[in-house]
Amino acid sequence: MTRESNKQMDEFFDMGGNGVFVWNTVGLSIAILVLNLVAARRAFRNTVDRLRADIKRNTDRSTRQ
Amino acid sequence: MIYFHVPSAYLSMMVYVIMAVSAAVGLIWRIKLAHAVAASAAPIGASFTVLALVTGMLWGKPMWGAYWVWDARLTSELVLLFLYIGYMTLRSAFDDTSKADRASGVLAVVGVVNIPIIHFSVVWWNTLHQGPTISKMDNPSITADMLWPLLTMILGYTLFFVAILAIRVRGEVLTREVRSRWVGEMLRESIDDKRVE
Repeated sequence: MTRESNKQMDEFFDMGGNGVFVWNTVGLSIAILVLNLVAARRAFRNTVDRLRADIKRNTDRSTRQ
Repeated sequence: MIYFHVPSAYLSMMVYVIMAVSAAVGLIWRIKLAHAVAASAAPIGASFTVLALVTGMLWGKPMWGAYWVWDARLTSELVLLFLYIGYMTLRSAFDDTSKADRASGVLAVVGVVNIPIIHFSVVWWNTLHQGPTISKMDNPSITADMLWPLLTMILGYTLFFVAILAIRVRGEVLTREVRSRWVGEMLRESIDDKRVE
């Protein structure tokens, strides 16, 4: 990388002195969007597993009777 | 910053309106799916509200020199977060789903009065937060170079919300309809096949 492109990269990440605020905003936004997706899929998976377990338990109980 | 803060603030309000309308439909016409949609939308809306508040704070520090001010817009958005938390907490306080639906539905409908307060706060009061820009139909006070990417981000966030809502509503409907035949058959088949449709 040339010195000029290094300087441009530094300026890009610095964002005119506001880099900390800008990149934290970007990171937090991405994190919350990903968290929403993961939480929704996990909630659905947990619901299905719980309901399956209930059905299996009821089926076993009625088989034993 | 504008491309993350504004879409999340917009979504925080839009999701609450969807939640309140769904709750009202559920209360008036007793449609269970409407309550399922309201219950599923709440955590998503709360997360967007948190995101709007925090990105607003990260924007406010370099712009205003303070992370937080008790400005009308910020305070009413914080009240929106409390409404979301109150809705979810009230739901979880009841074991009976129909009682939870009714109680939380009333809260959602009453709380919708906060949405126009948030929207018009920058017009009604002397606020630090900037005034309306893109909602001015006749002449948006934002350059087109920024307006179109902003509208694209708002559309993207909206479509993302719809996708996440669909996932959550699936689980909510399964829980509510667990005693019905189609859920029992579907789950028994998936137990045999070890997969979920």
